[in-house]
Amino acid sequence: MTALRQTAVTKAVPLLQALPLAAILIAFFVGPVLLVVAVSFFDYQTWDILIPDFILYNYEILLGSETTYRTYLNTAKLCLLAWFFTLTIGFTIAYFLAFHVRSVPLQIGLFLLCTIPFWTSNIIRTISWIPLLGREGLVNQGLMGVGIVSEPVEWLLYSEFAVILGYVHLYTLFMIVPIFNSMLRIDRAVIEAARDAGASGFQILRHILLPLSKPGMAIGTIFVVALVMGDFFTVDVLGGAKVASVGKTIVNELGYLQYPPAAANAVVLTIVTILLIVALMRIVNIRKEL
Amino acid sequence: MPASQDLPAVDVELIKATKRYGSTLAVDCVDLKIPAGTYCCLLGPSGCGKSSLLRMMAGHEGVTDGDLLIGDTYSNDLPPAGRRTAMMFQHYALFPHLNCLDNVAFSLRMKGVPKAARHAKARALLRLVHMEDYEKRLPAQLSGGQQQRIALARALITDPGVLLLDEPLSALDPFLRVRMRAELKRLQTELGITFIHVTHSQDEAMALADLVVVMDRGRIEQVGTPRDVFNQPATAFVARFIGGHNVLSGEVVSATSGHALVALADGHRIGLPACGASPGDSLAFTVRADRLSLSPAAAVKPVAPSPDAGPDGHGEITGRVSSIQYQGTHVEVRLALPEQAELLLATVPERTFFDAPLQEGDRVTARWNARDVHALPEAGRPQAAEEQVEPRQQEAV
Repeated sequence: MTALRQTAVTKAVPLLQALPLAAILIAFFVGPVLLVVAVSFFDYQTWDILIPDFILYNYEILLGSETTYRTYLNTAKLCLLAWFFTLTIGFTIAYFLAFHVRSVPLQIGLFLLCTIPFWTSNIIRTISWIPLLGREGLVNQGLMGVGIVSEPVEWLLYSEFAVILGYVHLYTLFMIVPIFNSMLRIDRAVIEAARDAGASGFQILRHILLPLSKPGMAIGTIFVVALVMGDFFTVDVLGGAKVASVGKTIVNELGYLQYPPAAANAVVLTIVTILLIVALMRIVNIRKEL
Repeated sequence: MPASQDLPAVDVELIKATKRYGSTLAVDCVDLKIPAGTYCCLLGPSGCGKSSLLRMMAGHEGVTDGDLLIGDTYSNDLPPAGRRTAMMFQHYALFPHLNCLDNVAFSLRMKGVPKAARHAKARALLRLVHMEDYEKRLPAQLSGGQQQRIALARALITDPGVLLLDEPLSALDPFLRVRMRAELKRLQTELGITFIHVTHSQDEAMALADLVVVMDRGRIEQVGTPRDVFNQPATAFVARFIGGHNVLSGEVVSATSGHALVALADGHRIGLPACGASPGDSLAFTVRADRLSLSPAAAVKPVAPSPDAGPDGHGEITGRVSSIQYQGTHVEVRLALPEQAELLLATVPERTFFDAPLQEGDRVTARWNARDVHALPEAGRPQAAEEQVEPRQQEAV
């Protein structure tokens, strides 16, 4: 009898140990997600914002509207541009840190330097671009002061340029870190072997470093894609009314208290993002990096 | 050495070559000529400069001072691929993202050779190293020995005149090491090119090399055939590193044209063949461990070697057995000698030992033929090595 009870207790211990984390995840992650999915099937009216129901109306409207596709296309464009610039800049910086900085203390020092912007909140960093890029901003004043332009440059702020600039500023580090990590794992003897085989500097980059940094690039890409797809703040602050994105659409719908369409939009956005990441994982095997 | 026509072997010559890293001297003014088609082993303990020397030849380290000639070409400033060398790296350094075929074909791809041509040549090299069935595998899917074959094929595809091998066998288990050793030798003979092989294993050097270069602290201690180096070690370092020798030292008390007499620290006198030393000099000499015969001390009358004993005479020394290690074919007996820090090693054939077994603590006399004593030339004289090698080569003929 005691033995039986003891085995029962022994079996319960690991479950008990897993309970706190499971409870937190269920309460604060699984629960809300399920709630959003449930609400996306709800009905709504002007004065009655949540009518429990199971209708496909929200999805029909969403997927039947041309605006949705245009917004998604525009979000994809922002995503692609942000990805391209963060990848190019991130790869270059990681390459410099990993292969041109010879001393390890300097390497670590410069790496920490890259993280300094993160000491300030994302929101403040985003907003700080306004006094810099605005009509009366520093850049325009400077350009006019030097006499390069006679009128303020309009496309600096509240434009796709400003949004991409904001993304690159915010997210390049998310590329640097995993790529730098991938590059540190490349055996220096492999590069020497390539040189021994007559590879030029560019050929080493193209045939050795690029393929071997792929997992890091994939992880960075996942970060940037997920962040940009889900962003509304940067688009709102730096894009003004001129730039559309899915995140901003959702926020707008929430502002009009149209919760079920917002929920449907969020579900679709989540699915699209997950599909993108699954596709990425298919291209590059990142498991060996983790 | 057989030299095939498409892969003419090339000689390598270093003239006062020096390598400094900051204030550290890795290679100190080395003169070395490795004839074309030689299997040369650079042998020494870690940190002796052998790898730096190899990497200088490969072009992966700059030559701080001195000259490097590969073939007739002054090669100090040539890029690695511009020399007639190819290197095989210590842990092979295969490209982890390329399959075997593409690994081997890599240098041709860099040269812009079309796919069909480079793959055809790569397949030929895979056949040479018996890896033709593995062309689609990634390096991570291969065993250590297989990876090594791929690394060899990759190095050989450039048709080098000199193949540089950096500790090629150190990553293999002992059994495989012996097998790959034979494989390397076969390849070298077949291709007829110069192999320069860095190792810290004297077994490897003995088994493979036509020419052994023993190094210590950035300098060359001795250059010679394995037999020269083993039978006529130039310095105490070489004798100890090669193994199988006991190094003793004492003061020369008398010297004639025929032989010399040396007194050890405890006053015990040992006769040596003539070595050019004069009375009063301190002299180190070696006694071969496998040429010692042991017998209980009481059974032998203490015989002081007479001053006129010729090279055919016998020497002996008495000590106490401090350890006995069974090794299968032989037994290693170590004797503690009076006032000598080092133990005297005797390797006794198994049957001889067990016919009259010894115990630890026994007083034992070791006897040897005076021919098996070898006086070490004064250490640190660079020419000494060459002087020593010449007569021995004639003897071997």
